[in-house]
Amino acid sequence: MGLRNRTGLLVLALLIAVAPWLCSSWYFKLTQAGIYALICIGLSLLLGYAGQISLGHAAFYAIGAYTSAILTAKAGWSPWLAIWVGVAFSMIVALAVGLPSLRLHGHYLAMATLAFGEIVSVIAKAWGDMTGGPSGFGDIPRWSAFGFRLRAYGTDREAFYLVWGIVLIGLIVALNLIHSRVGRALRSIHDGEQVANVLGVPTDAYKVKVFVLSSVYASIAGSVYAQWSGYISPSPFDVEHSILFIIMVIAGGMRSVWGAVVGACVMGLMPDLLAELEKWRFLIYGLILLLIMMFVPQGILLGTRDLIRWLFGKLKREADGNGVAGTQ
Amino acid sequence: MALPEPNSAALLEVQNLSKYFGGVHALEGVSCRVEEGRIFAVIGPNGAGKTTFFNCLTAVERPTTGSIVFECAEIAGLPSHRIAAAGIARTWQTIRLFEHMSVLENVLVGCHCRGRCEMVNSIFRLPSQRREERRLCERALHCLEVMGIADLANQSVGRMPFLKQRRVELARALAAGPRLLLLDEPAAGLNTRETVELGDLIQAIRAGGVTIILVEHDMSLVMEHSDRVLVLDHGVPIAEGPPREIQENETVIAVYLGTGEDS
Repeated sequence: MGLRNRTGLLVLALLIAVAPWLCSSWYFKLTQAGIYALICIGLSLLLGYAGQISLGHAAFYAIGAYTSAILTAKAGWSPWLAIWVGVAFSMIVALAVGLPSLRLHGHYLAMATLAFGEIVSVIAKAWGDMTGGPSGFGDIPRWSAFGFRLRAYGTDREAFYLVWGIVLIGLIVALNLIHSRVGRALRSIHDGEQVANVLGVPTDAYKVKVFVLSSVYASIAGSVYAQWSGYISPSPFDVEHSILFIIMVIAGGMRSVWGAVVGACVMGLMPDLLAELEKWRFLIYGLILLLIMMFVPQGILLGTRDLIRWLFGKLKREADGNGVAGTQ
Repeated sequence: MALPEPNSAALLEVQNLSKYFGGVHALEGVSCRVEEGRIFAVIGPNGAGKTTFFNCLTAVERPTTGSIVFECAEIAGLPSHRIAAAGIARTWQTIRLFEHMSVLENVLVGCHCRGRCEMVNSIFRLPSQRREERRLCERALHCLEVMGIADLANQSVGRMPFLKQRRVELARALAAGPRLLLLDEPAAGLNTRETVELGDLIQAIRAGGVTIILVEHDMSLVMEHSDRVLVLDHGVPIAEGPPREIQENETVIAVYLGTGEDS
């Protein structure tokens, strides 16, 4: 996956390790941002690499969350098992949604996923016996793994480590995929589907596969969320959140999974900073999206890199200029 | 086992191929036989259906009627990627590279049908995947060397000069190891010297065992290098034969130079 990505992973791992000392009051938000990051990594594979848009990713997040919550709280299953049942369920649903809509060219996936997201949201609200309806249900057993327990809202360092550990694994998986034959095939679809197809890339099959993979990311994120918060209700899984995830991916930078992580952190921490403006949240998100598309279409991550390069270049030119002036 | 007579086996046999776009007949009853190891040229005025012909062969367009038999198997109706896997590669009239990928990555996409590792192998970087990745990289680099652009492997294709982009596209088409290569106006935008070099390159590719169909406006290239020429006019085949015959064919001359009334 290249030296740069390995360095990136190392830096991220270090940041995760020291984060509790840097900003302990942000545990809750950072853990939530980690869960978003997981969804966004999967979504960026779909959106940024394969160029397919899903407006219903919160639905897979919901499937993971509710499957885990119901199986652990009501049927007494182990969270370890429940996560994978959620994943399997999400994969089947993603196949059912993706197969028909991805074979058609155009924005059919966007439309199908938008409708699907709404359907899942309605089911979560209406199927009271199972999902607890609009008010949701609690007493979901907390997950513990490797001595790290997903315990409580607020000041839980263990949850932070566990969630971000999963994000690291998700990132490694995504980077491995990107730097492979399959990853190149996905990128080629984004740049020129027809050309890729004529070169021998089964484009339709890959679009479905990456859609299923991205649903797996969202489903795992959902399961982790349920086991972490101990309580779920339909509101974090509505269509608004699907759109928020897309904004995160675009804000961070579509053409890099790193951008997805950055976007999830920036946008995930934003509500805290904008707490006063809660009502205007989506207007502000829209504005952010607009500004990013206009001024830094490559996203925050690469935009910052370009800015730093430009600044260095300018400083260097000025230094050179002074040097020349000095010799004259 | 007796080998077939050299140059006698038909690699591609097209019969009665037609493509209609609504009322427009882009191709009308085109038939041809391309023998293995030949350079087969398709010429004709603009709008004659040459690119549509290529599009039908590679399933970019679905033919309205007709049959396309490649290596004794019907390929009309197969999706593009299956046709590529069967051994047909092409270049495009306007260069179509993957802009956000490096030169090497572009060629590696061309190697796609030469690999087998799918998502699970890739995600976990299993040994089989790493071996395959090394093999594909070697293959892609070899293709770049053949095209004389191995030094550009890690460059981005976006800012590359036109001529180099052409070479990348050719390397990418050859990366799959095709039996049949379709070249859509490869000499467009080249000067005389570059066209001569291109001719040598095409001959070298043929010498490597690849049969070539060439759509081209540059008559020097067509007449010098092709073994047979098919002439299309408004989608209809009007002549087929060796280059010398075609040069003297009155219908062809009439189509290219006008019927004499204008001059």
